[in-house]
Amino acid sequence: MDGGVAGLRAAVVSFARVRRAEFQKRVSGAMKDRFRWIGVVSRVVAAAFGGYVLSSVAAISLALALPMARSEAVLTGSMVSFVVYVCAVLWVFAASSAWRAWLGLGIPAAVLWANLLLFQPAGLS
Amino acid sequence: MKGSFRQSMAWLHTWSGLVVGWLLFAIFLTGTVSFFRHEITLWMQPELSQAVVPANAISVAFDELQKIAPKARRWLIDVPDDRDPIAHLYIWRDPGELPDFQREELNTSTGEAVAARSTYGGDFLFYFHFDLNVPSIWGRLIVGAAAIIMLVAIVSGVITHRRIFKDFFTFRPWKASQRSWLDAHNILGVMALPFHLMITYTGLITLMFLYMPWGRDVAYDGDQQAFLSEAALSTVIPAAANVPDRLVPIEPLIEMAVDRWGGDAVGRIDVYRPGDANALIELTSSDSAAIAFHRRKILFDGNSGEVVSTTDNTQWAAETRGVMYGLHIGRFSDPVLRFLYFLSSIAGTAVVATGLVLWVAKRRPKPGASGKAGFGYRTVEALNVGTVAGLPIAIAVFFLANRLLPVDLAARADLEAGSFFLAWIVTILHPMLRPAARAWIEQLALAALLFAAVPVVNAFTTSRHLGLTLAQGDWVLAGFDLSMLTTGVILAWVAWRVGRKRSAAPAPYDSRANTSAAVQTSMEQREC
Repeated sequence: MDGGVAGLRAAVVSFARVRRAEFQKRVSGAMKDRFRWIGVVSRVVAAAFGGYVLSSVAAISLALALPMARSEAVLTGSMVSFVVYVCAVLWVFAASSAWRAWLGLGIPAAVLWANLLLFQPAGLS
Repeated sequence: MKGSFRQSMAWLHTWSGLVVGWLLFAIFLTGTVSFFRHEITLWMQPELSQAVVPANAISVAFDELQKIAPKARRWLIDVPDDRDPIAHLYIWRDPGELPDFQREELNTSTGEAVAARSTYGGDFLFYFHFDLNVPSIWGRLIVGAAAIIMLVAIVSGVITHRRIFKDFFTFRPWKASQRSWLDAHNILGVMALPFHLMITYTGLITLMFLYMPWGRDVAYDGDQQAFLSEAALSTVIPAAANVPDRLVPIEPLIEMAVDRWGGDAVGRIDVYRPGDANALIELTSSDSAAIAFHRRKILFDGNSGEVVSTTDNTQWAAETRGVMYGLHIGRFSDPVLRFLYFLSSIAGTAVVATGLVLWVAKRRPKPGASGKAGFGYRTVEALNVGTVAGLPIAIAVFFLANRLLPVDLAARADLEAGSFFLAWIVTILHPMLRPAARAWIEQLALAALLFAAVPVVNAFTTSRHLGLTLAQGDWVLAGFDLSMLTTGVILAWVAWRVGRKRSAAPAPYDSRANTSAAVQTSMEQREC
């Protein structure tokens, strides 16, 4: 088999193997190799797009909620959002499963979004 | 958190680093040389090398603008200084009047347009650094994505480096450490870690309204100009009164501004609606005077000269953003600090390069293993050579093209840029046709030769050769030529070392296995 792809596969497998040890304490049943592939792809998507969504919602929330002048809040929120993005990516790959990775992004994003809808209705277009 | 968290961060570091490694190397290297973009531009237009900036430079620029565009929507003057002796003039006219945008380069000591060979100069490498020469905003988006992944790589690298705090305060150059790529990668990364974090994060901040506009869009309901005005980032162009009126003389306004700023020079002048009764003049202090970028401005009524407003610095977030912007472009730095910026940036470039080489080194098929290395491995290796050695070759070719193309050729600026890309394409194709180790030596040696050739070609094609520029104390041109020579010497030394290593006896069996499955555990065992 192609050495480079085998190397990637081996890395994926070893990474997932580590996660699996913890996961299998709670879940029974075998996990197939292609299931792990999906897990990694899922995490990449979560990190790239989910992370961006979370950091955008954080930027908007801070811009509207920070107790400072409007332009100041916008600037602060936007500058902080990049830190949120990096942390989101780290979380996605540290989470013990791809499901947890998505939940860890989705729940905070949903909470912030709900807060925006309910308490800052004037802000949202 | 130990064990599996560090392992997942190690995995993330390896693969995020690989995916954007070549792109980041290109961004880092062109960013490094961009700290000297004005000097590069001056070298590439040697006809201007002894241009001086007269005391009445701004008045000369104003007179020229009055001549070309007495009535316009906006003038912008990029005031010449000791690093960039040319006045850059920009004119915007109202729709219906042509040309609606005009750009002039004025030599204020002669009052004439710049008469030098047409070139993009250092600006070519500077723009490539953040937009990769890709049209519209796509280049900036790609660079932004790479920057976020770079931040992820830095942080995950720090997490993976087990003894980083201990290593931070340990410096034992006399201890014979293993001269491995991992050591080099770690040392370069750790020694300039604050710089690497700062430059990557502030890079994102400089384009943050492109990458993260949503806070502004939601809070201001899409009214970008309202945000820019409130944050004192830009001034609204007033509507035309359609009543002609004269502009006040600019000199007293400049005196007032310089006095208010404690002696710091004016760097940029915007005139809105010149020749109209609603004219405004905005003076911005020079980039070299303070870290915070474009945060000191004074707005005057263009016809009476009265102060309309000044930016204050009580807007902490806006000031912070200005400081971050200023830290990234480093224009505030004096020559010594600029050189430290350059060294740290070279270290960052080398962190990326050693990381790419390390990826290949860890996965090299063991001696005696049967079969050829896989397609992925060989592709990475070829791209490594073509980028780490090839991009410097392309830069040297760019400089050589500047001297070798005919001076009066109309399209020479584009041809210089084209030769850069052509050289890079060739250097990426070359290692696909040669064994990797040979390809490295050949390209490094060629790079050394090309860089060393730059001052030689300069001597043969212009009258501003090294002997003359050193004698005259023209440190821009002399410094550039000397830097080219130094780079050539360093690359020659590297090529020689790589060649020597290849012909030496193979190293004794290394317990650090070469297969990627063992990378995680080996990185754990290895005190990294």
